[in-house]
Amino acid sequence: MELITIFADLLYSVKFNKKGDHEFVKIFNQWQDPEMLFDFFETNKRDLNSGFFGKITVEEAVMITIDDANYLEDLLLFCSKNGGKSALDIFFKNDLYDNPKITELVPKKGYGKRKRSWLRLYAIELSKECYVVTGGAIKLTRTLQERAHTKKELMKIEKCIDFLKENGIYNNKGVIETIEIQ
Amino acid sequence: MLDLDKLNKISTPDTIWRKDATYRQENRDWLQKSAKVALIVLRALKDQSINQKDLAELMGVKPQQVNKIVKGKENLTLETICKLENALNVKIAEINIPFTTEFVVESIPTKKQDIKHISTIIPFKYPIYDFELTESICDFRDAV
Repeated sequence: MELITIFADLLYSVKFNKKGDHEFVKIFNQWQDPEMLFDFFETNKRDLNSGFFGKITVEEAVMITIDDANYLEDLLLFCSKNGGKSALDIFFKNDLYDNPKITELVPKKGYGKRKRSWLRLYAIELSKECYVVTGGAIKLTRTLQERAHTKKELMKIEKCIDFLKENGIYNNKGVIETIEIQ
Repeated sequence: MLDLDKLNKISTPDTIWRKDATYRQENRDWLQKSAKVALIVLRALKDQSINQKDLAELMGVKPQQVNKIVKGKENLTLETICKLENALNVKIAEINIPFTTEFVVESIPTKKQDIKHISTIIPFKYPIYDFELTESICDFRDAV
């Protein structure tokens, strides 16, 4: 595993395999790839039309995803050019779960452009202004455990936490927190 | 306490994402249109049970070009759009001109081998608009 600097001291990404791209590159490539998104929403059509997101076609879902991804990418580019610490904090602001059961791992979530966005970036908070992005997903179900592609993200978070601990990286409170943005 | 020096020591700088993101931001307008074309093509492929390789053959292009099209990364030419439309029997792009007229272009061969194109307006009729014409068009109509 390798750690990649997106903005020094602020935002980092993870490369799980030596050969492939790091998570940040992968996520934004996937979220703006019509072929991949078309296949994904065709496969997960039932979740898409479960009622939570209203009546929506696969084509609409793809274009909404691309638009949302553009918004996130613009915000991150803005941060990279303007040192947007506060923008990153707005990005990653809320607890993922209402009642976190474990104190050593407190998941969080933040809100993006759309009220019911299905895009998620998962990150580990090292300090209020420093995050390690471990992956991302299109979340169409209530919990991450319900689908394989979202469940996988939890495993990636765990793997990254182990890596950081092995390398003696702890956050300001001496614990590592995970964050979900939406 | 978070040790940023330690963190930076074990990480390497990103060389890809920022470049990709900047490219996507600078080319957003046509990339978005290209994504919509990709969706029309993907739907047609699925509905007609054709794979990308078959489509490439139908269009007379390399499979790599078709893959670039469905990935929304191809800055399409009109020629390619027409090839896609013909191969899949779908409508992708319609170019609208401001109004339709009985405007005829006649080709008159001369004694020499070159072809001279002469435009003839016969007879010129304005279409019926359900909105007010702009001043310049009104002036032009009066002139006719």
